[in-house]
Amino acid sequence: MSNNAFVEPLPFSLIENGLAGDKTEFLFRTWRDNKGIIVQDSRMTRLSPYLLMTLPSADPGDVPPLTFAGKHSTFRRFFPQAMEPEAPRPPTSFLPSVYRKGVADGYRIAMEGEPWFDIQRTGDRLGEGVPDMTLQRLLVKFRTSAGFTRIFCLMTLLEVHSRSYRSDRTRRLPNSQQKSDWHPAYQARVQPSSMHGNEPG
Amino acid sequence: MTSGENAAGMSEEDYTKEQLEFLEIFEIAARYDCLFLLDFHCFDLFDHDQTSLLSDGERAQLAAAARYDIYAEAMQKGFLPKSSPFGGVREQQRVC
Repeated sequence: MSNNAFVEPLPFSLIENGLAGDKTEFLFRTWRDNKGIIVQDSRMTRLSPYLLMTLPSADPGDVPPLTFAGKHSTFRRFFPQAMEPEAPRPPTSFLPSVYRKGVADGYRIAMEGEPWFDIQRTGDRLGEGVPDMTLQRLLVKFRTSAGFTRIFCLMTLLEVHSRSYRSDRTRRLPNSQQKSDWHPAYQARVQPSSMHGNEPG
Repeated sequence: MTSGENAAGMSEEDYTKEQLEFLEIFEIAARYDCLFLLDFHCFDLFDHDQTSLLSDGERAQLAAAARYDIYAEAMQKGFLPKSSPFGGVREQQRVC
């Protein structure tokens, strides 16, 4: 679906089979079981520090406006200044355009009501000072019975790689920490308890 | 009951600015069935979702944090910020 080399869709069976982590599984099952309707739920509230929420519309090729970033979200972790009251708006402007453009497809799908699940190798696309990471992302659209709609994003940090990463693979330094086993399913099979050990918070 | 009173007979003047800020956000969240957003923001700020346990200052802090989140789409849904919890028009709401 995506034309971006750093974003790869993943099958939902990974979630259903418990290979994507408890939080992702909970969010996906809640979305599916409630048919996309969000209600006050203490379990969802406890998940909220890890969530991002956005409006259900965006400019073409861009991510939608961010309305909430939980304190343990990867966004807050790596762009803490973006949510400061005096920070320039919108908060997503802190994300480099190359990254926003690359991950926008998933939001478009989610806005249409379909869930989106992918894995990303960010490389240097998140800008100076942000490490190269492998991220897992689930997007689902929730609405209230009154029609209030939000896209929920649960981003899971799977691995932080060497900062010496170069997007040109031929230039990757020999001490790169990239491994061939970075796929979450592989990690989950090997070390179920450690897969989300890097999860923020 | 006058337009400046609520069902309990209390007028806007009986509340502090901080209390009104929270009531305003709560009213909109309740109207648009998105009280979960207040829970999220409360939990994010205070590690619990019991707004009744918050001080007036903490409630105002919560209202400030949740304001954009709750207003953003409420206005897209046609919400016009014209009424306070007491039915009056408050000038600063016009620009939200």
